[in-house]
Amino acid sequence: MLSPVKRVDLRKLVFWIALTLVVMNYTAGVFVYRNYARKLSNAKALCTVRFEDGSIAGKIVVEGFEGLKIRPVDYQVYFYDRRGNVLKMVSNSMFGRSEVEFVTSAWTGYEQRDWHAEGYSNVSVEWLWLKLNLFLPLEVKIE
Amino acid sequence: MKKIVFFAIVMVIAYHAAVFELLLNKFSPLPASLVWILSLVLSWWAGHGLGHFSKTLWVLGLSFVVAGILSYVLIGYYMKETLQFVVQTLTMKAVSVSLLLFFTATVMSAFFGFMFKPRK
Repeated sequence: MLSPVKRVDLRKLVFWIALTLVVMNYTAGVFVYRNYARKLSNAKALCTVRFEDGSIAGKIVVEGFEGLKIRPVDYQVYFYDRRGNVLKMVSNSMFGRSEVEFVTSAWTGYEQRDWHAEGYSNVSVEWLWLKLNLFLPLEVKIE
Repeated sequence: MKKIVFFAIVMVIAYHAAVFELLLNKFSPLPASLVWILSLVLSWWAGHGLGHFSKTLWVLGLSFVVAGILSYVLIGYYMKETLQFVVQTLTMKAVSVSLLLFFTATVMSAFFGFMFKPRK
């Protein structure tokens, strides 16, 4: 049998546990969110493209995910001319590698300065209990 | 007085934690429903600990308003580095939460006005 005094103590204990849980959950949420935002805003996907007599050589590097478990899924690069017509599209799976290369043939009749490119990469990111499929625009640099 | 201040702080924490949980649910370890239940336990404690119910009502009302303002300021601060995928889902949620907060606050202030009306 619990005495009345003991029962009041038990009740108080429940309240304090509730308060602690709320505060801890909140603090953890703020900490996780702030860190996640900082880590993800550092992430980027770089794509360097090189023209070599009739072919296009490209390299895609996904970087900047410090402390996060990432798995690059795929990428797509669109080459288009001055007026926005798509000249070529390159896409492939990345199989979890953060560095991939591709080679494709360029159309004759277009000079190198006529080629513009943009693209994106899908990266699945895991951190603690958070899972996310991130749609990352490529920063394309034509050499 | 000490009790009132204590419970006001507790309730501000509870309200603010609930708003945070509604908006950024997936970043915190506990599920939103559990945080709601814990907040209800805390408000039960406030009602239990303060002698008169009018005091409790004041504490709850004031801390609700304070927590609402605090949430706006703090959530804005947390969202300084915006994550695109968070913002997309957050805008709708933030609008509905703020509408709900505003509606509840107006209802509360109207109730207070009615309750403390001088009787002739």
